[in-house]
Amino acid sequence: MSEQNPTIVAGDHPQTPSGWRELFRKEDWWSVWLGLAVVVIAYVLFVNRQNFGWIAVAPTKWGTFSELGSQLATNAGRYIAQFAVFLVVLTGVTSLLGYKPREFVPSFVLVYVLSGAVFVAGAWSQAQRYNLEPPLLALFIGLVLSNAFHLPKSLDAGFRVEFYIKLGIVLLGATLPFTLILWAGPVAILQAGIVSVLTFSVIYFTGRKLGLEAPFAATLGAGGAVCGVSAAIAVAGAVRARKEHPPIAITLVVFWAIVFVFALPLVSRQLHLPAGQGGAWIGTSEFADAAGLAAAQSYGELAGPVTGISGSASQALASYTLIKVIGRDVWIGIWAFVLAAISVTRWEKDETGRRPEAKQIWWRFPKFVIGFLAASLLVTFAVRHFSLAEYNRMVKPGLAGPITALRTWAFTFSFLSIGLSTRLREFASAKGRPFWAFSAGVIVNVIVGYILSVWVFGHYWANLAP
Amino acid sequence: MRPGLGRCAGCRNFRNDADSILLAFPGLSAMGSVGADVRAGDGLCSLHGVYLSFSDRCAQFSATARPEGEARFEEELSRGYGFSGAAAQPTVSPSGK
Repeated sequence: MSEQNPTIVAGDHPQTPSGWRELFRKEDWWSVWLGLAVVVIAYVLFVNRQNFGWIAVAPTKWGTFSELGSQLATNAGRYIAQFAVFLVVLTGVTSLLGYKPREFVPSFVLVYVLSGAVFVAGAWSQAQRYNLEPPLLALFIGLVLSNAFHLPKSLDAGFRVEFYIKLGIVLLGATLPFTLILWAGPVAILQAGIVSVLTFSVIYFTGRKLGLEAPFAATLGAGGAVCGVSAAIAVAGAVRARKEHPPIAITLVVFWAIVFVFALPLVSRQLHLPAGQGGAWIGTSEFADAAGLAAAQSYGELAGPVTGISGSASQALASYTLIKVIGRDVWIGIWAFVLAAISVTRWEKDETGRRPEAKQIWWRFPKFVIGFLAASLLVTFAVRHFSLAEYNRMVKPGLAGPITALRTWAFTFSFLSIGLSTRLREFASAKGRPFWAFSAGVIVNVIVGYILSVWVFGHYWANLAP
Repeated sequence: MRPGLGRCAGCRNFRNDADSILLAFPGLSAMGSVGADVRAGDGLCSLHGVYLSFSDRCAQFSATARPEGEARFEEELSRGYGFSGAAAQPTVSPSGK
C-alpha cells in the first residue's frame, strides 16, 4: 500500500461485540445518543417556550448576490456558533470511535464549508430550473473532488457517510409520527420483503448458474437485496466468503447505487410519480441508505406546482425511510443468520462443525433504528394533545423545524461524504459473471419495485400523511 | 460442534481491526462503514483466505500471545452479551502501528 489508512487508531477500536461497552464505542449507538439528545433538548426548550432555531440556521431563498450577501452577513454569528457546536460534538464522538482529532478537524471543516455552499446553491431561486437539487449536487461535487484531485487519505476521518446518515435518520424519526410507522410499517415490510427475497433469489441463482461459488453468490445477493454494502459485508462474514469477494460486491453495489441515485429521481420525474410513490420506489430499489436518501430527498424537493409532482418532500422521505429502514435494514441479522445456517449445513458440510449463533441477529442489528423509533415515539407522545392547527402554529416552528434543519445538515454531510470517499480508481474490478449476476437482480428489483410502489401499494404511498 | 476447536477471535491468523478490513476491502467507506454494527466483529483469516465471524472455530487454530482471550470469550459468551474485544487485539497491526 503506498498510503496507509491513517484515520483509525489501530488496536484502539472495538474488535468484537463487547457487551455494555458497545453502547459508547460504536457509531450506531452514538448516532442514537446524539440524535436523542437533540430531541430531548429541543423538547425541554419547547415546553419552556424557547427553541434552538437560532443555531439551527440554514440559507433561505435568495435571488441576487446582494440578497445572499446580506443574508449571510446577518447570520454570520449563527453560522459560526453552529459550526463550533458541530465541530466540538462530532470531534468528541469520533475520537471515542477511534478517529484522530487532528485528522477529523480539517476534514470536517472541508465538509461543513462545502455543505454550506451546497445549501446556498439549493436556496437559489432558480435552482430548480437548473436541476440544482442539493443532495445530488453534494454527491456530484464530492465525486468530482475525490476523483479529479488527490485528496490526502487523512481527510477520510471526516467523511463519515454512515455516521452522519444514521444521525440524520434518528432525527428524522422525531418528525415522523409513531402512528404512521405502525400504520404503514407492515405494508413497507411486505413490499420490501417481496422484493428482497426475489432480488436475492435472482442474483443468487443467476450467479450459481454462471458458476460462482455459493458464498460469493449469497454475498452479491445480499448486497442487492437487503442494504447494500452493509449487507454484503455482513453476509460475507456469516457464510465465510473468500476475502477477494466482498470488494467485488462493494464495487457492484456502489456502481449501481450511483447510477440509481441520479436515474430514479429522473425517471420518477418523467413519469410524474407522486412524491410518496417516488420515495417508496427509491426505498425499494436503491441499495445504500445514504445514496437512497439523497435520491428520495431530491425527488421530494421537486414536488410542487412548478413540476406538477403531487405530494410533499416529507412524504417522499417518509415512504423511503419506512421501506428502507423498517422494511429492509432491520432484517439484516436474520438474513445473515439464515444464510449462515444454510452455509454450514449445505455448502461446507466437511468443515469444522461450526454452527450459526442466533446472537448474531442482535449483534448485526442496526442499532440506530432503535433511536429512530424512540425519537418518533417520544415526540408523538409529547405532542399528542395538540390539535392540527396548534401543531402547525406552535410545534412545527418551535420543535420540528429546528430538528429538521439539523437533520438536513447531517444528511448533506453524508451526501458529500459519499462523493468524497468514492475514489473510483481504488475499487476492485467487477467484470464478467459477478457483474451479470448482480445486474440481473438489479433489473428485476427496479421493475418489481416500480410495480409494487406505484400499482399495488401506490395508494398507500401517495396518501402518506407524515 | 467439536468443543476442542479454538475460536477465531483468539487466533493469531485472525485480523478484524479497522485498518486490516479497510485495506482488504477498498471502497467500503463509500457507502458502508467499518465500524457499523452489521459487521459484528467479522474478520479475515490469513491462513484460509476467507472473511468470517470472530466466533467461528477451526482445527488450525493457533492461539495469540494472549491465551486468556479464548477463556474470556467463552465466559462472556456464556453470560449472554458477547465477547470482550480487548482479548482479540491483533498482536501486530498491518500498518505496523
